[in-house]
Amino acid sequence: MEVIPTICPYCGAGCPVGLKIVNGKAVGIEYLSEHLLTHGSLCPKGNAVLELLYHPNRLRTPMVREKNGWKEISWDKALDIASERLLEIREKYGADALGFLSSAKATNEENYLFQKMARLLGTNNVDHCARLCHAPSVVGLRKALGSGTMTNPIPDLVNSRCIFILGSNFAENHPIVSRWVLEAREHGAYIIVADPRYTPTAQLANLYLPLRPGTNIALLNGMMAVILREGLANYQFIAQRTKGFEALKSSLENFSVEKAAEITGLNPADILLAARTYARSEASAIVYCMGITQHATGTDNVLACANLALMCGHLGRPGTGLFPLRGQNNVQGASDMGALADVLPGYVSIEDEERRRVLARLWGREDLPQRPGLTVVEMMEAALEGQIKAMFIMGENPVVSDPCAGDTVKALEKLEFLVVQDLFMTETAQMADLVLPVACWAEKSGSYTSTERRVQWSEKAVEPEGVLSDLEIIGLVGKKIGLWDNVPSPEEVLREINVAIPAYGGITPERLKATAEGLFWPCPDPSHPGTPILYHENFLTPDGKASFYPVAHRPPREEPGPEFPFTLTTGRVIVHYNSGAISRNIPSLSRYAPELWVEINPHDAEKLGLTEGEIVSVSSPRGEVKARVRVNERVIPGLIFLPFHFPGVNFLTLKELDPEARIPAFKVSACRLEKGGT
Amino acid sequence: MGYEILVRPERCISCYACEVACAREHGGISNVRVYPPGIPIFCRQCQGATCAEVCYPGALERRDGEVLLHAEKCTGCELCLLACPFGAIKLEGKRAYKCDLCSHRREEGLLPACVLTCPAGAMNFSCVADFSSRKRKIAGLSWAMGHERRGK
Amino acid sequence: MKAIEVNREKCIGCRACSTICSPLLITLTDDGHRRVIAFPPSCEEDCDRCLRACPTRAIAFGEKPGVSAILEFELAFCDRCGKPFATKEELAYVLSRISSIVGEEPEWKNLCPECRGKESALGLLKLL
Repeated sequence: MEVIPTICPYCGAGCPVGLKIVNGKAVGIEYLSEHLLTHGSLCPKGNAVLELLYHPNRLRTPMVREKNGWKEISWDKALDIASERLLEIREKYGADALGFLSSAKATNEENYLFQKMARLLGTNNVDHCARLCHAPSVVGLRKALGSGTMTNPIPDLVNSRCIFILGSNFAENHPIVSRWVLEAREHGAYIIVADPRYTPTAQLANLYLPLRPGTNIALLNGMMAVILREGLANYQFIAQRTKGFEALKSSLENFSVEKAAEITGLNPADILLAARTYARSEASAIVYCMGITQHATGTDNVLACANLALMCGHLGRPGTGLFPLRGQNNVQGASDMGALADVLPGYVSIEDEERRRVLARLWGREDLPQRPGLTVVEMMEAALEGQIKAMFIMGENPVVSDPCAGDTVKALEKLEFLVVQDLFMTETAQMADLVLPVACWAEKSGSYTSTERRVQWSEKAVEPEGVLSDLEIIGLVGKKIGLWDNVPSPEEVLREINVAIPAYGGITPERLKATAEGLFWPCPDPSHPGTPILYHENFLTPDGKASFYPVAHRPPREEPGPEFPFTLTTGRVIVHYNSGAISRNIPSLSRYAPELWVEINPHDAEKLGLTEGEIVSVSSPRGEVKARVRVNERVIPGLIFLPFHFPGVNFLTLKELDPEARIPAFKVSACRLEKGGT
Repeated sequence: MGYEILVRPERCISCYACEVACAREHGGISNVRVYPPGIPIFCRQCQGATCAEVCYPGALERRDGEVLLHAEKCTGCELCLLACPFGAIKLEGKRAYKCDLCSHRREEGLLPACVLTCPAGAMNFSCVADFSSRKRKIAGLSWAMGHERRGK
Repeated sequence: MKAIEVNREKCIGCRACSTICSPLLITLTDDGHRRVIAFPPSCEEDCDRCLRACPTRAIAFGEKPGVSAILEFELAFCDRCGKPFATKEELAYVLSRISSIVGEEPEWKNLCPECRGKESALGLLKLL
C-alpha cells in the first residue's frame, strides 16, 4: 500500500489529499499532517473525493450527437471531428468565430496549452470563469499594487491583530482559512465580518456588520473618512510607498460616518469601531471574496479595499495584506497561464507589441492575434448574435454558472459546432455536438496554483480508464490541426512555462516534485526560494509604488421595486461546489442539501404568508425557479438568498457587467416570491 | 491511556467534515453528528457508562479509558440508545454503532479521522488535563484583551 | 420443532429478538402509536438465539404446540420533538437499570436520542 499525495480538486485553498493505493486502486484517504497550510485537515468535499474518482456516472467514451441520441465513437474519430470542424469554421468565418472556454479546474499545463492552441489558431477569444468571480481582483489589484493576487499566505493570518472580512463566507467555502483566523483570534486578534447574511463565518466575528447588499464602497469610504479625520493613517507609508493620496483625501472630504451609516444601514458606532480597530492594530488583514467582486462596481469595490490597506500601511509585512480568496483549485493558475481574453501568459497585455512578439517567437511565429478577445459573457452574447459559430468548452458548465443563463442556452443552441470536454454529462454537455470524457485529478499529473500563489505538483495516483487527460486531448487536437508536432508531457509544458512566464521561471518540475509545500510565485529562477509575502520593499508596479484610486458609491444596477420587491443574492454552501455538477452527484455530500431552498427573513415570511418547507416560485425579470422555503434570521429583512449550486438559479441573476473587469453583477438583483408551484 | 476526543465548540464551523470522514472510515455510517449551532456530538467514553450497564449480551464494555463495542455480541436490542444521555449511539440494520476512537486507525499509529480532518481544529485528541489547561490559557487572554462579541 | 412461549409481563418490547431472528419469523412494527411484536407459534430452526438475546428472559421454548403471540406496547413520545422513540416499558426498564449512575429523574429521560444530542449541544454552548 502506498500513499500518493495529490492536490484536492475542489477549491483554491490547495489542500493536500493523500490517496491510499492498493493494486492500482484508490481504497482510502490519508491526511497529510505535515503540510503547513492544513496539517492534513480536509473539508467534507475533500473527504469525499473517492466518490468523485469512482463515480458510476463519469463519462467513459467520446460521443457524438445524432438525430436520435448520442453515439459512442472512438477517440481517433472524435479528435478528427474536433480538429476538422474547428478548421472548417475558421476557414469559413475567420478565427474570431471560434470561442474557447478554458477550465479553472485543469492544470497549469493544460491551461497553458489550451490558450496556446486558441492563439495559434488565430484568436484571443479564450477566457475562463475567473471572469465570473475574481476578474475585479485581477484587474483592480493589478492597477493599485501591480499584481492581482493575494499578498500573504493563509497561515500568516495567525500574525494579524485585526482581520476584516468582507463578502467572504470562508467557513463554508475555504474552511481552512477558519483555522488560521481562529488561531489569530485566540492570540487576541479582533475579527470583523461584513456580510448582509449571517453566515457561519459571521458567527466567528467579534463585530458583525450586516450591511445592505451593494454598499461596500460606502462602508470602506466611511471607515477611511474616520481614519483620516482622527489622524490614524500611516503617513510614513503613504509618503514612501504610494502615489495619489491627495486625490483620495479630497474625494473623502465630503464623506462621513453618518453618510456611510445611512447608505449601508449600519450603526455609525460600529463603523467607527471597525475603522479604529483596523487602523490602530499593528498588523491588519483584509479578507474578501464574491461579496466584493460580483458586482457591477466590482473593480471599484476591490480598489476601495486596496485604498484602505494602503492608507494604513497594512501591506508587505506578516499579519497584514489583502486576501482575495480564489475559488477554483486552479483559477489562479488559469489566470497566470493567460487563459484570459485580454492578457497573455504572465499577464502580458495583448497590446504590448514587443512582449507579444517575444511570446510569438517562442511559439515559432512572427506575431500573435493583436486584438483582445471576447470574455465569458461577451462570448455568449456574440454566439447569440451569430458572430461566434463554434465553441470549445473545457471543464465548465455555463448553462448553470452564467448569469441570465437562459441566454446562454439560446446562445449554445445557435452554434454550428460545440465540443465539451468534462467528467460528467453536465447541463452544458447535454447541448454539445461532441462530448469528450476526461481524466480527473487523480488520474493525471500536473501543477496547480492555489489562491496563495502556491504552486504545487499533484502526482498521478491511478490509471484512467477509457478517458484521456485534458492535456492529451488538447495535445492531440493541436497536433491534428498542425499547430505542433508532438503531444507534450506535463513536465515538458511546465518547462516551457518556466521560459514564457518570468514569475514561474524557477518553478521547475524537479523542484516542485521535491517540495511538499510547493513554491510561491514570483520565483524567477531555480535558486529563488519563492515569495510568500508580497510587497515587502516594492510594489509590482513599474515604479515600485502603489496607487490610490478614489472611488464612490453607486447604487446597484437593479434595485427592488413594486413588481420585484425583494433583493436577491446568491451564494454557496459547504457541501456543494459551484454548479453542483460534481457535488450533486456525490451522495455523501448531496444528502445534506439535496434540493434547492430559499432563505427568507421571518418578518418577510409572515407578510407573505409563507411557512417553512413549502414550495415557492422565486422570480426576477429574467427567469423563475422553484425552491423550498427556509425561514431564518440569517438574511436581513428585504433580502432573499438562493444557493446557486442548482440549475435554474442563474436564470434569475443579472447580466450587467462591471465596465473594467466585465464581471456580471451576480450578487444583487430584484426578485419576488409567489406561493405555490409543485 | 486517558486520551479521548475533546471538542472546542467555539471552533466548530458546522462544515460536517467530521461526519463525512467518519462515515467513510466506518462503512458509510457516521458516529458523530453535528448539531446546531455547530457542536459535534459523539460517544463520551463515560466512566459510568450507562450504555454498558444495560447491555445484556455484554457487547459494551468499559476498559482502559474507553467504552468498547464488541459488534459480534450486539443483538440490536436498542436499549443502549435509550440509556445514552447524549444520544450518541445509533442503530443501523442489525446492530448499534458508536464512536470507537477509530480503533482501526489507532492500531496503525494514526489519529482518529475526525481529529485530523477538522479544518478549523475543533477536534482534539488529548487528555483532559492538557486540554483544559490550554482552554484556560485562551480564556484568560480573551478576558484580558477585553474582547466581547457584538452584532448578533 | 419447538413452541415459542412469550411472557407478556416480562417482555419490554425491545428489538432484540426480532433483530436476531435470521429467518425473520419474529416481526416488529411501529405504527406511530403502538409497537406490535408478533411471534410465530413454533419454530423449526435448531437455534435458541431469541431466547438468549432477550434481556428480561421473557422467551421460553416448549414442547406442546404453541399459539401465535401478538404483543402490543404503548410508545413513549419525545417531550421536545413529539416523535415516538421507545416503548414505555423499555424506557422504564433502562431508566431503572441506570438510576444508580444518573439518578431517578435525569432531565433527558423523556427525550429521544436525537433531541438528547441537540440538548447536549446547546448545553455545551451555554458553557462557552
